[in-house]
Amino acid sequence: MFARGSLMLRRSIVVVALFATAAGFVTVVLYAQVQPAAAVPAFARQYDLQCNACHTRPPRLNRFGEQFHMMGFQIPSASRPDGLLGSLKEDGPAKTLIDSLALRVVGGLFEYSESPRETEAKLESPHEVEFFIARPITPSLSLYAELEYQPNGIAFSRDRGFFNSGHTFGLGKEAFFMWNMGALLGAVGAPTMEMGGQTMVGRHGGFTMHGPMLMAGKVDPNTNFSYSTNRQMLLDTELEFEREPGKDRSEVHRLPIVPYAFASKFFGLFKNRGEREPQLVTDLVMYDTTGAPGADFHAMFNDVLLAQLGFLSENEGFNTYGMLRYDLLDRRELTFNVSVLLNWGFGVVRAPDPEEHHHPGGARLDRLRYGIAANLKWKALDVYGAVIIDRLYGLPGALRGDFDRAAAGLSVEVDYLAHEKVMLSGRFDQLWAGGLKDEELDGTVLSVQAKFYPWQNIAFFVRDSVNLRPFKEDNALRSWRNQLFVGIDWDF
Amino acid sequence: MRSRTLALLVGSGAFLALALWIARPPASLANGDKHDDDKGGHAHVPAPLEYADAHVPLGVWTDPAMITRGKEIYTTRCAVCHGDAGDGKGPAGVALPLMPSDFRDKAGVGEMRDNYWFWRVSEGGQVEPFRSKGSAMPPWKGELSVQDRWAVMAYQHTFSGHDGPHVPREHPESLAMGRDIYAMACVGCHGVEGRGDGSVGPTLSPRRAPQPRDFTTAEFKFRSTPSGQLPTTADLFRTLTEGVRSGGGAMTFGLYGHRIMPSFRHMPEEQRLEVIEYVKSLNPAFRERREISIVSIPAPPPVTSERVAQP
Repeated sequence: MFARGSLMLRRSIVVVALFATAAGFVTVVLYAQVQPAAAVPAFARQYDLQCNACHTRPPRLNRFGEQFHMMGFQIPSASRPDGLLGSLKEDGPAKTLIDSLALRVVGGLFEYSESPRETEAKLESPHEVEFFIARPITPSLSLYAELEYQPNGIAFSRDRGFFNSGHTFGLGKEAFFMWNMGALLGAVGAPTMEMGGQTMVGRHGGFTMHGPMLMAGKVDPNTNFSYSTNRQMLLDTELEFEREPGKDRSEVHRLPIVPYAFASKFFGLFKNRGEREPQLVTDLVMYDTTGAPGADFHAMFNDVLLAQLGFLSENEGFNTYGMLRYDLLDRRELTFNVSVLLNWGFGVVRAPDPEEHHHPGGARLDRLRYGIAANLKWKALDVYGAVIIDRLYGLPGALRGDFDRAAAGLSVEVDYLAHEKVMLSGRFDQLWAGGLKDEELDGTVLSVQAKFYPWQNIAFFVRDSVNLRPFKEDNALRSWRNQLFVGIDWDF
Repeated sequence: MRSRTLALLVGSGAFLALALWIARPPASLANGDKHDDDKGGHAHVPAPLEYADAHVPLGVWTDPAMITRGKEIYTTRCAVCHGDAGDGKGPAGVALPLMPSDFRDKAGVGEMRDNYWFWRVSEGGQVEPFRSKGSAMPPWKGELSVQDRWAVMAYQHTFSGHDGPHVPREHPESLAMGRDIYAMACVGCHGVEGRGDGSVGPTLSPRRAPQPRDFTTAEFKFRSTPSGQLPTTADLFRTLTEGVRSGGGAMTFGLYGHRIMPSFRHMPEEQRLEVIEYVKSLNPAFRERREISIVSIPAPPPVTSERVAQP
């Protein structure tokens, strides 16, 4: 009891300290700006731009924001020629530093969940507090790093072999540099042009290529995909687990609601053998990771075709991917793009033991992932969807009869800017699951959300998700019927 | 796992350092210099702002009377260097450090815009970057009227073998750089055809933020010309350089006055002019207007204590 009280106290102190730091940060920014331009994220401050120049509404990117991101967080064709040094000379060290920093507080504040077994309502602290350092260093090189604090972060306890929650702090989802390699190609003989400090390969009026851009470090490459999982209006919900009193064991009680198209999709897999950490069916994996060590190359050809290649470390193996996106250029307030993905994972998951399904076995499996996604933006409407198919290879013969090697997912999201301050969203997620046949269950979820932006960089949301499949108490994918969340998404 | 991540990061850093070290683009390949060498050093840079609005009337290029008049002038004043056949091999031109232009080079002529051509005829080789390259061409603005300069250009144009008027729709290659920049940086808001109908506009803040400009109409907000008229090239250049700030209203707490259109001040001046030439090509009225009147803004009245005290 005392130990629990002490833990609560420690968490409260940390939360209060963090918010005090955030308040101090805002004060410094307010003080540093001549105009009342305080509560804006790093890039908006650096480029003196409003959030909506790059976002339909944060965090969703509009067409200009996609180009800005693709070119390494630089205004297309208009990089600052002297980069960081120019900023230091012109703005001074203090403003340059402040303009490079940003904070995001995001997550649910209130949660209500309902199932035939129980009804639960609880107040929460925001799930994540993210601290960003982001800035172009030269016209060809940018840095982006994210530190993350989670007041109630859920992690698999490697030593004890069960899920646990606690406050966590460390490297966030992404930390990488992005480098325009066009000049390198020029050095080996390719024809190049300087476009506002950014080297472009090719000739005006003929073949042109922006990039290739190298993004290396801890990366999330799917921002360039037609359906970007880190740019959705509907946040992923949190994993819920139950720990039996007095026992060193916890059970996953409810899986997160994520866009199922990009989830792992298989029941009964493990991430590794030694730590026996399960690969949950809703984990975002492969190309659709929420951040993994790796290197990504992308380039845009003739302003309409984006190509992407890369590799990512994953569990005990790694995966490689190739992606192509075709863009229809904007006219009549409409833009459209379509992407295809081919993704191969080498030994990225571990099959269960053929005898003891709750233990990892000796076989590492390869995973093939492929699929198609599309995005249409027309007036106030933003529609994006994806169908992704996964298939496992290398399954032990003894498991063949018990294990379904193929799975698929469909996710479609519709965002509608009903008013300049109100974004309405709906998402349909369908999972055709694979994995152990005695566990596998398909899932279907419909989520709706209203997000209110009193200002461009602050949003409050109300979101409800409905399980459209029959309730199953003993399966964490369907152990609920309805979940309602009230939350905040605040960038400054 | 951690050591592998560390190794990956260190390896990436080492690769980056190596790449930065060797990634120095050869000067001969940067900024189209190689392309200029193909043309004997005649870089087709954008006309400076004072000549940017000096477009040649459409009918001049194919008007027989103008071409005849131009031939008379060309024969007496230009052929000595540019040659009777317009091949740049006139008797006085062969020894010059910068060879006179070859008007028979159809591709080279096609890349020249009319205002650039008019600038070259008017100022000759006494302006950069041609003076540094040793151009000996005299300026003709003091000796030839505007109409005479148009006439000589119309005659020079006939050497290229092109029959139609010398306008962007006939020579899209003259706008290639501007079009490339536009496609990358402007299309999202202003749309492919410049109608202000990109997909970004409707979500900017429909009720408060200024909407992307429709370049195909005469409705421009930021200009020094009277209401209802098109802006000058200098007006467009100023807007592109400064961006557009938005009051934003209640929607933009903490963001009041920040730009809704980015500033492109870091884009080289030449490239800003290139993209503006492309924007002007989306509206034929920019080439058809003959007179540009500038609204003069009177000097602000002196600040006196009486004026300050006025409610």
